[in-house]
Amino acid sequence: MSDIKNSIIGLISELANIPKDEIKPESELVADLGIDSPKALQLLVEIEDALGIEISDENAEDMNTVGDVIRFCEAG
Amino acid sequence: MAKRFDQLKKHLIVLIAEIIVRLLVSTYRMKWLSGERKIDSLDEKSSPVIIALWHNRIIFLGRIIRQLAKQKFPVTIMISFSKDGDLAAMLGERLGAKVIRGSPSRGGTQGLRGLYRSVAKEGRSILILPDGSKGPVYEAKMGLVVLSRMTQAPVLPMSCYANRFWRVRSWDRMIVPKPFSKVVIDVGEEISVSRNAQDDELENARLSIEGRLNQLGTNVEEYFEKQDK
Amino acid sequence: MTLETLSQSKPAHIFGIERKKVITDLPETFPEVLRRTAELFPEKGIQMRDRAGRVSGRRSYPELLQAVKESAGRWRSLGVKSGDCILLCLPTAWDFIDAWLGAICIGAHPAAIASVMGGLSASSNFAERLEKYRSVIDAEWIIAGDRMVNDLRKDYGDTLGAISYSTADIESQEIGEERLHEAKPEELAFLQFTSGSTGMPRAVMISHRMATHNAFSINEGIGDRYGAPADEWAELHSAWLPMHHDMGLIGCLLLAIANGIELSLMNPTTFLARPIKYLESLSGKKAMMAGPNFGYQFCVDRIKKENLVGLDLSKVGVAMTGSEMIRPETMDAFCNLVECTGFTPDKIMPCYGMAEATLAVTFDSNGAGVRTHLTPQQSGYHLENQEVVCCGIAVPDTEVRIANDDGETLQEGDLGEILVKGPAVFSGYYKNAAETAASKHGEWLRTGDLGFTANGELYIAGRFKEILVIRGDNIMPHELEWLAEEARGQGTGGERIAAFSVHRPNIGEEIVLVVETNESDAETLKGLDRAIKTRIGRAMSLPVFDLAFVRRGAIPRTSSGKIQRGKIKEDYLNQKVERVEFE
Repeated sequence: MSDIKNSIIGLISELANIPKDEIKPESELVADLGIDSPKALQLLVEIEDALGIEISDENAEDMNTVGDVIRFCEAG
Repeated sequence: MAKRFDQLKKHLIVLIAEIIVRLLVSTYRMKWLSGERKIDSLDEKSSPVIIALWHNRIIFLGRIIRQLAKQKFPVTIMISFSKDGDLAAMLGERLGAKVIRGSPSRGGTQGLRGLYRSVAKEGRSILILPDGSKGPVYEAKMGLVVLSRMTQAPVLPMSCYANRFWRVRSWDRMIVPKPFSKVVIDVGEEISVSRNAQDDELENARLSIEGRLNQLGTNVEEYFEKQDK
Repeated sequence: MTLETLSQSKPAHIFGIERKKVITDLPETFPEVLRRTAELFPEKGIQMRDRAGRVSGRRSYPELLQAVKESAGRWRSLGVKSGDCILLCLPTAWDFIDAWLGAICIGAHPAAIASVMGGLSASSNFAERLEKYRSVIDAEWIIAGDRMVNDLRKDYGDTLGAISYSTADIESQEIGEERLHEAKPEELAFLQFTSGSTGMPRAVMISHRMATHNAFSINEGIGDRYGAPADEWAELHSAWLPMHHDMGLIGCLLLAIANGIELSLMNPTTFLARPIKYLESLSGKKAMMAGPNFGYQFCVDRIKKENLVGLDLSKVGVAMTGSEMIRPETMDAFCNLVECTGFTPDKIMPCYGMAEATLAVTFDSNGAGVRTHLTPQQSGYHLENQEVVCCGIAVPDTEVRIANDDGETLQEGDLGEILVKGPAVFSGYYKNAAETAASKHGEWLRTGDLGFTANGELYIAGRFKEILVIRGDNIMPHELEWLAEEARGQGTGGERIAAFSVHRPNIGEEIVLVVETNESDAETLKGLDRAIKTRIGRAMSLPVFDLAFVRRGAIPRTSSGKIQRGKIKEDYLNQKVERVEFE
């Protein structure tokens, strides 16, 4: 498992208050993990700070699942 | 041609609106119940705060933007995407605020991130209408609380009232004090949100912002009731 | 509205006065209306259809007048007096029409309720519900079908607070004095039950003037669209709606009688069993059709294109849709379905109304079919991308405006509560001053519906009282329900979905969905659960706190078939919702 994947799942786990092993790449951010838009803000900001990258609004809109977030960050 | 005319018309409307707002707010006789020094002391060296007031007090926003601009205290406001919002945004900028477009509700991540960057990256403060842009009246949206948590900027609630005013027939019965009216302002205790706040603490913070804004609203209204007696 | 206000020049908007024609010189009471129609339209009348959809009987309007006189005579022999309230529990048939009109024409006040409740006749549940309705209007009389009354007498003879009679009892009465009671226009004519979203039914008081004015208004309202009132071109008005439904009673029965239009009546059970029979009744005729969104969706779900071969709906003049939220997708799907019959989408006429305004409040008279508008862009009502249907302008002599909580008129484009004023707006609920006061703002009716105007036309955005407020954001329940329905699929038709919010201490309001389904397979249900949550999560960025699958029929409906979100929420909170478990 890559570091990026690990740290993102860690962030989401903390934010969603759900154990890490229950967070799968196919988990829906909103439906499965309860990441509503205020929480999405925290997630994006914390990823940007942790990885030192910029996530544009368009890219953010395309992120529906945990896998989407991981793929974007690994590519960036 | 028509487009250029539209642009011209827009600028003209904004110019007139700006003159009206500036003239209007300059005639108000201000009475601070508390917090005058706190607001007066804000300048370019102060750390960022999130100033919150209910949407129907929006006209005071103009007054506060003017004052803070004079004190060189940099502020950002958020205005919704719409045709009318375009005009409001131009007006906000002319009065001296930085304007971010977005809505605090659905799909609001974009606007919220803009506000976040404004505070975190540029050290600006935020003026926010927690029940805007369309209500429900006197219900604060969660975005404000999360913003405060992320930026660690405290929320500074305030409310205002006047002895003579017009009520606009809007969803929230907007208050516009008449020229030369006496305007009373009250600023409440700051509310800080812990960086580690969990869901229930965030909801509590949201409710206490609502509660404090409503308390301030009662304070300023009662001021005039006592005067009458 | 924000700083934007400063740029708005449009005045506070009251509309509905644009229509030039105003209802004058027309009769204002039931007896006058019946006599006028019998005289002016002696060749027109009412057709009754059987279970197979065939015309099984017909009465001309002069014959109807005679039947009403006889019915009045029988009511008198029975001992019914002017001012008595009568609970009518009869299916769509001559019995109902005679009894209802006859009662009104002796000055008594009938109130119609569903003749079939929960699919059974005299179950204990039925007697209980009957008593609930009866007590609201303190009815002295209950009239129901023969078997039902026999069962009621046997099992509940003493517990019901009224004398119950079967139609056979009435038939056997001597015909007494046939004279029609010459009412004053403002006199109470009949009572119309409405169900709030919770609890007890309420009975709207409808006067002679309200009923007749609204029936003439609808005729004119349809006319604005075609250049001539409906009575001048319509060969047939075809109805399947039950007679206790305001759209069935006013929008079909009374509309036809008052304006002398030929009417076809079909029992709702016939429509629900074979909706194609309803479309067949319209074939080849300059006909009018009417129904709620549900009826059109039901056609889409149940009728296959190949069954439409040979059907000619090209002459259908108008298809009214109203009485519940209109879904553009449903109307589109219906138009696609019947395109092969020559039916064109411009025939769809969205309407808005409610029992408290007798029925019709606004009509889309544009003649361009379903037109939609996005709810105001700057809105924080969580509706930014929603298309809602244009319901046009007010019917004659009626005014509509959008107001804030204090009843002050808002500007064009602002969301607020819809208020209505006019000759067909009610004076109150029967013996219920508290509910009456809550539903009024001066002489204006507070509809409890959320709407806005654009270009002077009305758009309905949802029920005001049922808005979910999640973390300070406004969300419309039907928007969640529609998304859930898209994800669930149509099923076999008729399964409903209800969305509401529940309060969790320290967390705030959370979304709950109750979804009716016929599925039992755990894997299938698991898949549905996930599909619905994902759909809502992606579209609205909102998590669903709880999703309960229930059996079809578990979500309570009002007497007119609308889901009762308040009631199901109550059941949910009391843990009375029977879940179909899958985990």
